[in-house]
Amino acid sequence: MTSKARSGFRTTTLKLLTWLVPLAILALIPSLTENIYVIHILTLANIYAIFAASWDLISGYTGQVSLGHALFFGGGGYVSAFLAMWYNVPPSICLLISGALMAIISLVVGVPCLRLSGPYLAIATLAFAEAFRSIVIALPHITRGDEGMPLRALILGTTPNYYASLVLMLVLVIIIYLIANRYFRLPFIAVRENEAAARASGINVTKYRLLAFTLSAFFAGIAGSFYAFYRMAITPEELSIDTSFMPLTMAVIGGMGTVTGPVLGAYILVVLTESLRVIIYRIRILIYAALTVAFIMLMPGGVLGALRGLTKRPSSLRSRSSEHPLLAALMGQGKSATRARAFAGFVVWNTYFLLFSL
Amino acid sequence: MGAVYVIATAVQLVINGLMLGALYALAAVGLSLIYGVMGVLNLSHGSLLTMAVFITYSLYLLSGNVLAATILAVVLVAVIGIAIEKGAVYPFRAWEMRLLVITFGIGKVLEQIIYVVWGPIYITTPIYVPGSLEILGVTISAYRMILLVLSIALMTGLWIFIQRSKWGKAIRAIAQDEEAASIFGVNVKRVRTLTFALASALAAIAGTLLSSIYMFRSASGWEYLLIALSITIVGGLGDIRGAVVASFMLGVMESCIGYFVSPLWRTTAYFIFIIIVLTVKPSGLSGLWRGGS
Repeated sequence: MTSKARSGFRTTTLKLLTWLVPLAILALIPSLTENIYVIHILTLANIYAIFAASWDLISGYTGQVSLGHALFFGGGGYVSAFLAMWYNVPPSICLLISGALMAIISLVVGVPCLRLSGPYLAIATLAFAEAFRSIVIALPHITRGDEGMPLRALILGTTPNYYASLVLMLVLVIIIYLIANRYFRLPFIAVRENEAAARASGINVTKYRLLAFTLSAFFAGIAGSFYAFYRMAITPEELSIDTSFMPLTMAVIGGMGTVTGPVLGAYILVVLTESLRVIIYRIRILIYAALTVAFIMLMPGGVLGALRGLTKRPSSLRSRSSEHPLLAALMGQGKSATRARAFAGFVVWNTYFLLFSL
Repeated sequence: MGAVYVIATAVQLVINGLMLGALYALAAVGLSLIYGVMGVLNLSHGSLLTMAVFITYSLYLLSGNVLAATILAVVLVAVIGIAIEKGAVYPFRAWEMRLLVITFGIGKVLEQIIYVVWGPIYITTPIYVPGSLEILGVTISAYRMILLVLSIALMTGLWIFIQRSKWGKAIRAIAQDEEAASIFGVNVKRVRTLTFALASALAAIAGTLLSSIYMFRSASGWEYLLIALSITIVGGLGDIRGAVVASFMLGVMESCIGYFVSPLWRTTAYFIFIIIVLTVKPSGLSGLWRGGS
């Protein structure tokens, strides 16, 4: 009994430490480095972490892939730009209004699609995002077309912006985490794993999918709004497929269906690609895409799944049935857990290396 | 004079629309075929189409022969399609949502390969036949008529292949019930590969023909993917007949919108159309001849 309690205490402390140490490092970074570029990159990573976590809420938890999350990210930015430019709404209220408006738009997208199962939501989100982007480009007298809209900055200075984004990220990610892992964990995962069984046991499948989608759009809208204020501009680029692809990549690499995984993925990807930007500017999106395909095929648990494998026995890492035959051939029977750990260690080590070598 | 002009414009718009529709049908039928046979929405379809355009362009620059370049590009893209099916789609056939992310990712990889290899350029393939025809007092470019006839011929060929040949029967059998088909001795794996190759080849032909009218860049594939998606949704997912009818409808719609409103709204109309169909009748046109979904 006591030993059990002690080991429970130890794992809780360990868990807490694994999140407090990186957080402390993130909080101390402005005092550790003078390099504004590093702080700028990490601010972007904070914003993308919210965006990726919000994507995870609908796609990782309820299993409905959204391929057009840029609609909510860019949409939030445009709403803020309109509000701030035309009506002089204070920025902090802009954030909330953008989130709320995106939640309403998500209802318009979601109600017809989430009733249907299969790939309909994926197609509809893709179509909605592209439709919105082409409308923005086709109405240059309102939206200034390809040039994008300017905004007044929310906060001046790189470091204050960094702390604001860090606090916003923390608050929103904790809310998303609680929503996904405390309040609605069971229905969300039931809907993802077996729709018919969930329906049979009295879970209103459409309601929970719609709830996840609306909340997801709300947080993505806030992230997009903050992004627009931080960059002091919003362009159709933020509505493009490249932007939709970003949270997907981050979640897949970090580990879908965990909230913390996509956040981790956001830091890994933003730091990795931004620090390599000068050298390999042209192939950075190719790297994004190739990593996504490689991870979803070979390591669907993402980096977080592999990291969890470090603390657990190899047999509980993942069932072999979900593995790609190529992976089995490449890594040999039974060795895949060790290789996956080595790979995860490599990725994490590289991230830290890149972080501090800047 | 006025009435003649109105009729002439109308005929012109309809013929342009039919020509576009025929080309889009080539692109959309592959997508619909893959969905019908294996229940996979291949989101890399548009990038395969663009890949064919760029390969044709480069091979043409190398050899100077458009026809040979096109044929070689179609074969190469079919091979890429087979590689996608063997390496990425077949092993994951049980996970529908994971396959969406995989094919989306592959589409992105192909798009970026084009971007890295060819750079941020706009290209067209120099296929053109000079001359014009007169129908009902309207002058129509001979080249567009050739495109229309060629696409219709290809679609008819595909239809005969699916309805009459042994392979076509196997494809239809798997579309109806994969397990039963395999019990009756259909080699499911091989038919899936064939379907993917066929669909990719059709996309490649559509891309090369479209590139003689429109400019292409590395990311153009997504636009055509969305057009093909809207056609397959309007026609009913997995329904080839519906896809052909829908592509002619949408082609005429596009040419009318391009003329009356603005070419800028050309693609927007498609996306709005998808949204309306998803909301009102998600089974699309196929719901009409199958008696509701």
